[in-house]
Amino acid sequence: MLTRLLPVVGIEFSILVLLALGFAVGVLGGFFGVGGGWIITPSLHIFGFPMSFAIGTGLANIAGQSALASAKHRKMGNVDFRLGAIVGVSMILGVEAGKRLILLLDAHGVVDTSVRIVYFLLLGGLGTYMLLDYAAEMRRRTGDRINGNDAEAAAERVKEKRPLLTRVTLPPLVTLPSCGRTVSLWVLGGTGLAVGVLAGIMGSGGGFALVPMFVFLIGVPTYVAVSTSLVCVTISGTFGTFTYGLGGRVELVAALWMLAGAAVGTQLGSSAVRYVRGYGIRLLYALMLLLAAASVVMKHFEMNTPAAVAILGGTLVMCMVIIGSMFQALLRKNSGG
Amino acid sequence: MNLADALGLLLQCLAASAAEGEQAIVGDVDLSSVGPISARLRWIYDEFRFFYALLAVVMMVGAGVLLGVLTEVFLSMIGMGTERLNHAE
Repeated sequence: MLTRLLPVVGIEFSILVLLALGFAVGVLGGFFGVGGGWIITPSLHIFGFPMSFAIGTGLANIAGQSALASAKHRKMGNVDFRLGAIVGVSMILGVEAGKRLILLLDAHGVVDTSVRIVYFLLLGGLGTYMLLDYAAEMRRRTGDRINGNDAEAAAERVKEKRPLLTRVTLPPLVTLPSCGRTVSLWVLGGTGLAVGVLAGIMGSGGGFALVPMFVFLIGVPTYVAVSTSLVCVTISGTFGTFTYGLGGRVELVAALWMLAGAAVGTQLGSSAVRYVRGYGIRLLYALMLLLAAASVVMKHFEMNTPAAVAILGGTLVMCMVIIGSMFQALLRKNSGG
Repeated sequence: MNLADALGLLLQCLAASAAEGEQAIVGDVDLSSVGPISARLRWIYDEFRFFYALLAVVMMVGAGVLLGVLTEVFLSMIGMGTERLNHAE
């Protein structure tokens, strides 16, 4: 299937798989506001990349792909630049610390297992939490409808709910234009640092953690969280590419092939975010996180084919749902509905 | 041991291990079996690691922006550009 020897990592790899992976991750990345590293890194590893190369190459792809996607989201006016700049810059320190830890683990030959455990715990934990939150919200909405106070009750709930991180009032305080809330600069910096460490360890831009953190802990609207996280991911991905490149763990040829596929996918995914909002996005996101976590576990137990089918099959189905929703909206528009 | 000593020790440990890890790179690749661009990239990787890292950043971000513009133009030409999709909302 059009295989080529990759010059740095030194393994044969299918160009078609790289293009398809890039396209699929581009759609999901543009839609969910993440670089897609949490899909790319395990996928490359499942297909034969050593873990440290999968991380470095994943970060390189993220740098290009998220630069592409954030430009598009900015055009749509969804980005909170104040939040993006503060969190993105503080993520740089975290990415460097994460990289050093990975090189340490690599030198001792335990990087694969360690990173798989981190992947499983984080993706599985986040996915489960978001799924439970979705189920709870659906139950609340059903209750509201039965009581006949749908809109009123929902508005009251939003007023009462004060997100966790906005309760810290340690100065200096920053007002975020996207949600009108005031947040401590220390909290935003600490959030960026923590997510940066995870990004450096997992070879992702950190968007998978930023979106739920922005939404649940700061109270940013979901579609703004999606767009703003891309700005942060661009900053951390660019720095991660450089620092992993210095460590000799970036396979540039593979990253460029994936980026070619991602260019088309990201355009479609970014546009589709206008049509499926709020809790619809959260449900899809939770399911994708759980599938990625399951595939990492299967890879650990040498179940390579089921692992590849789970992550690629899941990615493909999600892409079809996203693109399908967008085309449905276009058809409704064309038929005047 | 106070907190400052502990942090100092941790930083020393991380710096040493990072250097150790960077030495553990992959072996040689037979450059006759790869294309000319790949062969040149491998040469830069072996000889000038700093420039390889810099090149990776410039190529990825540059290619990302360039491909973004090209696909946007293409999608606009077939009636699926950002403007069109936003109006369809």
